[in-house]
Order: sequence, then C-alpha cells, then structure tokens
Amino acid sequence: MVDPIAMPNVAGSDSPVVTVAPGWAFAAVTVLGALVVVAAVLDGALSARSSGGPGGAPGGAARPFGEAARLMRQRRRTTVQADSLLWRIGGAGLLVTAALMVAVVPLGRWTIFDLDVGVMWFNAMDVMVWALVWLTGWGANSAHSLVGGYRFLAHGLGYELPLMFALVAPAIAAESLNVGRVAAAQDGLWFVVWMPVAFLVYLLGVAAFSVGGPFAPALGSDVAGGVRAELSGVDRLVFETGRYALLAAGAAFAVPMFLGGGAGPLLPDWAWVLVKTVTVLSLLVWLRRRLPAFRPDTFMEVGWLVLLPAVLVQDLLVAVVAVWRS
Amino acid sequence: MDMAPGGLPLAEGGGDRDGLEMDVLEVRLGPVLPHWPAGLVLHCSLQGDLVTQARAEVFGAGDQGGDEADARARGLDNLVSVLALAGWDDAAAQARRIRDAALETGGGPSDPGVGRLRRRVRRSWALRWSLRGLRPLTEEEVRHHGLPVDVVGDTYDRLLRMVDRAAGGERRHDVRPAVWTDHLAQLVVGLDLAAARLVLASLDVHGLRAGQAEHEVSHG
Repeated sequence: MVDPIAMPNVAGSDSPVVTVAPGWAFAAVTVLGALVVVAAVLDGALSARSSGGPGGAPGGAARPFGEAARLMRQRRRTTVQADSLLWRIGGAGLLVTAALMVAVVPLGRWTIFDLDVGVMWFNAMDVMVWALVWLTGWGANSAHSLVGGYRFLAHGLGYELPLMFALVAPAIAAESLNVGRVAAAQDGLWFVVWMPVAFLVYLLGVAAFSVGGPFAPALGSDVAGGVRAELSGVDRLVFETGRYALLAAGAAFAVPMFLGGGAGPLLPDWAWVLVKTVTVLSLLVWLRRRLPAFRPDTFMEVGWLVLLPAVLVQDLLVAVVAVWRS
Repeated sequence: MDMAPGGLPLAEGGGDRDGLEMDVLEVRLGPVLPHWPAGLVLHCSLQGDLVTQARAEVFGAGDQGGDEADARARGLDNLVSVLALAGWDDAAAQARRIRDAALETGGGPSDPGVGRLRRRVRRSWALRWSLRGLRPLTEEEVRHHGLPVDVVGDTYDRLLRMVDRAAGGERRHDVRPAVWTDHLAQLVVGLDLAAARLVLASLDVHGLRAGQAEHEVSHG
C-alpha cells in the first residue's frame, strides 16, 4: 500500500544542486545588491551619453550614488488621507519580491531554496508585483499615482500570460519545475538556442515586471511620475532599488532557465552564473532604452494577438520535441 | 454626498462607457507641466484615466512672440515633448540636444543631428504602431477647430511632419498661428490621459488664445 504521506523526494539525492545554510541568504542579497549597482551605474552612464557628453546630464555613471544620497537626505512627504500601510507595503515589497526570486536561482551548484516547483515560485513572485505596484499607486490617495497604477495593470493583462507560457517552455523540455534540474537538463545545448521566442518574450516580461523601458508609462513624466508621484526620500529610494532588483533577479533567473546555468569552460560554475547574469542584465538595461513605450491601452493587442500565439507555438514545438526524445 | 474625510470631498460616481458606475475625479492639468503648452489649464473629469469632460482656460494668453530662431526652438521643444510622452527618453534627449544647439547658433543651418533623428524616428516600428490611428483629424475638422493645416492625419503623421519641419530648418512660415483653447479641450475628450497628452503635444502649439474660433460662435 502506498503511504499517502510519502512525498516525492524533493531535494533528494538526485538533485543537481546543494541547499546551503539559510545564513547564506545574506550573501545572496549582497550579490543582488551588487547587481543593482551595476544596472544603475550602466543606466546612468547610458542616459548621460544620450543627453550629450559631460555637460549634458549631471553625474553619468555616478548619478545613482548622487541620487541615493539626495533621497536619503530628503524629508519624507505624505499626502492627505494616504493609506499608509498599503502604500508602504507596495513600495518596500518590490525589493522583498526580488530577494524571494533569487532565493530559487542556483549559483552554480549552491542554492538557498531547492524548491520542487521553483519555476512556479518565480512566477508567483512576478505576479505579486502586480499587487505591489498597484498598492503603491493606490495608497498615496493621489489621482496621478492612481492613473499610474491603472496603466501598470493594463500592461500586466498584456504581458503576464505570454511570460507564463514563456516559462513553461524550459520546464516542458526539462520535465521538471525545479530550477536546478532545468539548468542541468541543458547539457550541451542551451534552451535559448532552440526556444528563442520564449527567451525573447521572457526578457520582455522582465522589462515589464521591473516597470522599465517600454513598460514605464506607469511611471510616466506625463502623470508626474505615476505610481511613484508621491514617493519621496527613503521610500522612493527603496522603490527605485526594488525596480532594479527585479530587473537583476529576472536576469539571474534567465541563466538557469535558458542559458545553461553554470555551464561553461575554464571558470567555476558560480562565476559563469554571475558572468551570464551581468551580460543579460546589461543587455536588458541597454535594450530597454532603445524602445519607445508601449501604450497601456493598446498593448493588450500585441500581448494577446502576437506574443501569446507565438509563445504557444513555441511551447507546442518544445512539447513535440520532448515527447519525441522520450 | 458631502462627506469629506481629511477635508477632501469624496469622488462622486458617474456612468462609465460600459454603463457601470465609476468614480469621477476632478483633476486640473496645467498651467505649468512638463511637455505641456505653457499657460494652458485643462479642468478634466477623469474616470479611471479616461478624460470624460474637459474645460480649457489660458493663463497669460497671447502669441509668445520671439524671432524665427525662437519659433524653431519652440517647434523642437514640442518635438521633444512628443518623443518624451511616447516614452522614448533616448530620442527625446537627442532632440533636446538639437534644440539647444539651434538656440545657440540662432537661425543658422540645421545641424546634421536632425537628419539622424529623423531617420531614427521614421525607422521605429514600435513608435509607428503606438501613435498610428491616435486621434486622426480630417481637413474639415482641422478647419472647424481653427488649427494649422499641417495637423491633418493621426498623431504619427503629425510627429513625422514635426520632424520634417525641424529638418527643413529656417523657413519663413515657421511661425505658427495661435490655437483656440476650447477646441483643444474638445479634442481630448474621450481619450485616456496619456493619449490626450500625446495628441496635445503633437499639435505643435506655439501660442494659445482663450475661447473658440469665431465661425464656431456664429454657429451658436
């Protein structure tokens, strides 16, 4: 008789990754913080370059540090009848969500949290961003930030399903939702090579849940900064850091999902994970500057009529290959 | 409904497009906003982010004057506005650089950067997709609203013409007629806030006049 309590061996002997002590979570957050700095510095340098040389924009690569110092000294401002609790949860939540995302990303062989459904975990976290951005927009009790919240939700309806189905492709091919196993399943051939559509849609999704680039209308200057219109001082710093952290976490998650995890010559596997993460992150920071915004009221058309069918066809092809191989 | 927590009156409900009731927010836009015609005040009723009613006023009306170099810089400013409102900060920064250069050199020959910007704007499929079909204006509507003839077409057409005007450099008819504020208000009703801002910027407004065009008044 089958014991109903017996679980499939979750982090068992055949797992390709080793779960490290929980204390290492601090190290993971430190790495995430370093990636945030890399992304912010690169973004600052690129925006200084496009505004035309040294005289153009203040700071350049040093801008994030100056901005952080400025925000830390700025007095916190509040609005009449703000829903402070929800507002703060939304603003601080992005950073927490990004940290929870990287918890399931293996750094070479080590992982903080060897979850059997790690891919779903990541997906759940990125859906949580919906609530957090909306709460930030809602909590301030300001028309402009509320409009920003609406805009993000409108984008969300367009990008979330394609993103989910993009994450499905590697999981089907690896026949597992465990992030470590997905990485291990790419022995010899990275998933990015034979599922490029899923990879591109995934990158678009990362830009979207970090509220950046073409998905920045929720923070548009036409609505005084949108969702973050009333955020000031440390609150704003935490919110902006959270956005970069989500971008970095999205880049890090692409490595085990599409780019073969720690596979690579010469360097140890943990170093390869970092090199690939920084590469994807730089690509995202650079690419998202190149595109104009997708208007929230019409993006759904693209999301559901172009991206969703494309990524479903990709899933179908991957599924056929997976069946044929087994 | 006269409840006012914290001194702010609660939003009143109103019928939405889909027949359901939705809160109506009264929001004033202007007179000073980034990427906004200076002096224009738009009293909007918003449902969600949809402009359901708008009433226009103008502060410090009248033609903004200045010489041709100023008019050219103002045109480039409006180009910066459209690009920035379209969420393309990179191209907006490029246009702003051209504008600064134009102010420095006065009415001199246009710099080669304009050609680069023009090619970049024309090449962007994402920009085209995003602005195509946004508030198209027929010739008749343009006459009716007392707008310059070169705003015929949708927002994308208008943007291309703005870039062309910038690239064309120092032509005499760079000075554009002032626009009647009431007509601006009529143009943005039914659009969401982002689209309304884009449409207003794409009209390349150089000066504002309060009220409405005279032939409108005679119609009653």
